[in-house]
Amino acid sequence: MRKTISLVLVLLMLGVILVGCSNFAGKKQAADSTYPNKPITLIVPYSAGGSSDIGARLVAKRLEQELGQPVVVENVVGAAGWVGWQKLAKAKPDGYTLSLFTLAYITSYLNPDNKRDMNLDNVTQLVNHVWDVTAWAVKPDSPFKDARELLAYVKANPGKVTVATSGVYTQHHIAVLALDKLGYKMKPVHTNGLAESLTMALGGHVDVVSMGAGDVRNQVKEGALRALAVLDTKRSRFLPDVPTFAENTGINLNAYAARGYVGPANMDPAAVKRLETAFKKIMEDPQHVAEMEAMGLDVRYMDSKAYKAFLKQEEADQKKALGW
Amino acid sequence: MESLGYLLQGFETAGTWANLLLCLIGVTFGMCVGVLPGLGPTAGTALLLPLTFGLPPVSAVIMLSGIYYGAMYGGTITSVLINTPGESASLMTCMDGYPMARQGRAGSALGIAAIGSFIGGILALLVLILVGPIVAKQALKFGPPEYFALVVVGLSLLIGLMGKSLLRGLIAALFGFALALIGMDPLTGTIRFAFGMEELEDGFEFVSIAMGLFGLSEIFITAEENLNAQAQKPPKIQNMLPRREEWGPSIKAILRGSGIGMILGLVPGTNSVIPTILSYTIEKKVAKDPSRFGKGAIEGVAGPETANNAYAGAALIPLFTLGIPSSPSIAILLGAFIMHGLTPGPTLLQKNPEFVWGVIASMFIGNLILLIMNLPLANVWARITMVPFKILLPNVLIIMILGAYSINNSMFDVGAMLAFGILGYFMKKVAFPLGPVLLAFVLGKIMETSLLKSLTIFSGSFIPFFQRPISATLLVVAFAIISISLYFAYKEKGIDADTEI
Repeated sequence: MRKTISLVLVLLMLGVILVGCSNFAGKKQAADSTYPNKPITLIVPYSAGGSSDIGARLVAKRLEQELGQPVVVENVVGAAGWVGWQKLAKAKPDGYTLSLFTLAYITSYLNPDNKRDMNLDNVTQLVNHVWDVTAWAVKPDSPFKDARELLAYVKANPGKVTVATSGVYTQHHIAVLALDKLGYKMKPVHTNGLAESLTMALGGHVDVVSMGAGDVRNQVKEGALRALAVLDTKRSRFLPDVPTFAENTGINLNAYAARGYVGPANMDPAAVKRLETAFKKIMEDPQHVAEMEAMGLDVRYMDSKAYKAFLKQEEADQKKALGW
Repeated sequence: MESLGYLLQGFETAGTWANLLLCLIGVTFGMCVGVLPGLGPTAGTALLLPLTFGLPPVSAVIMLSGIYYGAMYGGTITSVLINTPGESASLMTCMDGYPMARQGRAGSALGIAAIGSFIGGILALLVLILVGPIVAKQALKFGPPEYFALVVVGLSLLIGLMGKSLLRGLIAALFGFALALIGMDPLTGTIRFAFGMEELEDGFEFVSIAMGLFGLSEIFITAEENLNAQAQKPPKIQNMLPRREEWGPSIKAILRGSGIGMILGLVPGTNSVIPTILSYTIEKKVAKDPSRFGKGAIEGVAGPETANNAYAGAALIPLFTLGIPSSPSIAILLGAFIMHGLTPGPTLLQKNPEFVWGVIASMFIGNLILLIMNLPLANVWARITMVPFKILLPNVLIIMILGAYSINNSMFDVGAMLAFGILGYFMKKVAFPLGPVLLAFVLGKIMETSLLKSLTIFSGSFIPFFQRPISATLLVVAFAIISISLYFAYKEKGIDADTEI
């Protein structure tokens, strides 16, 4: 009697296991066709609360609605973002682990001192999202009326003019270095970010401040600072009256923070396609654009291919400016 | 007087049921965030920010600023009860708050801290209303050279606090400086002392060092005493209000602390640890019997706690008047302003008076809520010290590990905390003071960056430090403090013989 019961139980268990297996396999098949069917992790390689983090959380919220799956933001902080990107690179390229991506990634691996073992090929570029253009501003009583006057003075007095950058090897610093290569030597003062740059500019501790156009627009509007130039190929809508650097001086000096989204290398093309469409829809939503605009950030959509090409170009530009 | 009329209008805005409720939610959430080590006000504000999108701007900012100053109250609790500062601002509170808790007077310590915080917060708000716009402009004169000089003053005060052995204190401070050097060089971007570990490229986290050196080492010591059966019985809980003779000195400490906190809060970018050190030192200097400090002197809690909250309140002045956020949590508030279509800056007061005054009025209400909540709660919290050690210690340990993990979601910080805990245990065994390590760690970073920035601006010359009036004055003050401290140390072999921080 006992034997029969055991046998039945064993058979039953085997059956359950078989059913479990088949179910699993079936689900996996379905997964490929109906990506996504489980929660997605979005790595933000910076601390919670910064402007990158808030921007990513705004996107995550909308991505959830677009994809019908929860999108969990995970702040993986360390080594100026590198720890987070390493975690991404080690994740399965199934589209369930994505990451916020910034140009700091490129600077980080170009720097020979850092001895990084990854480059642009270790991620799959999905889309570009934020376009945060740099503007140079001075105090209203500054002798420099425009970028040309500034450059003329810099040429005559190399290493005299101080410019507040928001930290070493930021886009602000790299622009100063690029100008250096052209024979215009300025003195970068590395602050620890927006607030300090602003204080130093308003207090007259530096001659020029390099900041995001969206961050400086209020001070410009209220007359506390005067914008000299926008460092982009076209004017910023945050400072429509301010000419570009090239308009004024003939020198193409560009600086911007471009933030996008990436996945691990060799991602499934179907998932890439699905994400591209979802991101595109979000970025075309006027409400989202308005939300980002309120934070002083422009939205500029680039699809996977365009984003990849843009990053390659950026890599070449940074190499040149930094001399690495 | 015009301001007063506006303020009354502000109370009308802030006094609606919805806004009162949001204020209550904000300060309560802030207090919880402050109690949990690791999860600071910055992360707390960031987490609630997306929830405020649907709210009118004034309500959103009322709630978010509630988190900010609520967290300042919460940070005190862990400092007093388990000797663990959740943020640098409550570091000095450990010095006398924890000894008070061990004497069964945790209630008094928390009570006076709540009262002091309330008074400091309210006074800072009054300054915000009356003179904020005028002084804020002046505060901009503080550039890197002035920060550098200010930090030098802070560090010179540290020497006066070292007490028993100047040599040990200096070694401890040097160790703190060495820790501050780990990570990226702010001028050249070179990675220093990381030994190829990516986690070290950003340096150590303040919270993991503070929890390890202060909190964890204390747990080890207590556990050891328990094993040796020398532990004192958990202390009998005493009254939550200070003793009658303590009121006079406490109130004076609170008033002095308010002044110090307010003045430093006006200067954008100063670290909140400086007003607390300054207040602690002054209290010790003016006290009739300085030897009580470090053993549970109530002024040692009242002064720094007040300074900390007055600082937090006054730090809003640069935000409202110039649009400059003076700390990361305020930067998120700035983000909230902008997201809700408001422009912080000189014209905010003229363009959106109903908003500004509504928020200011809500801060009066919020501070009152916190006081009302914290006085009775002080006694509840104090009962935690009655829990037998064998139950309390493991639980505290769990909370600390969670706290260390939650800083960056990384096990590295947990490991760092444990390592610093073991180090702290041995340092305590051989009577090395731990305070200088942490203070030098916090101040060392600011000192290095501000020195390097100044030298960049001055093209490598030190002379301009003495040509700028503010930095010159501060440096002379620092020099005087150092000479006097050294003179006393030499002459009397320790006027503060038994006090250590």
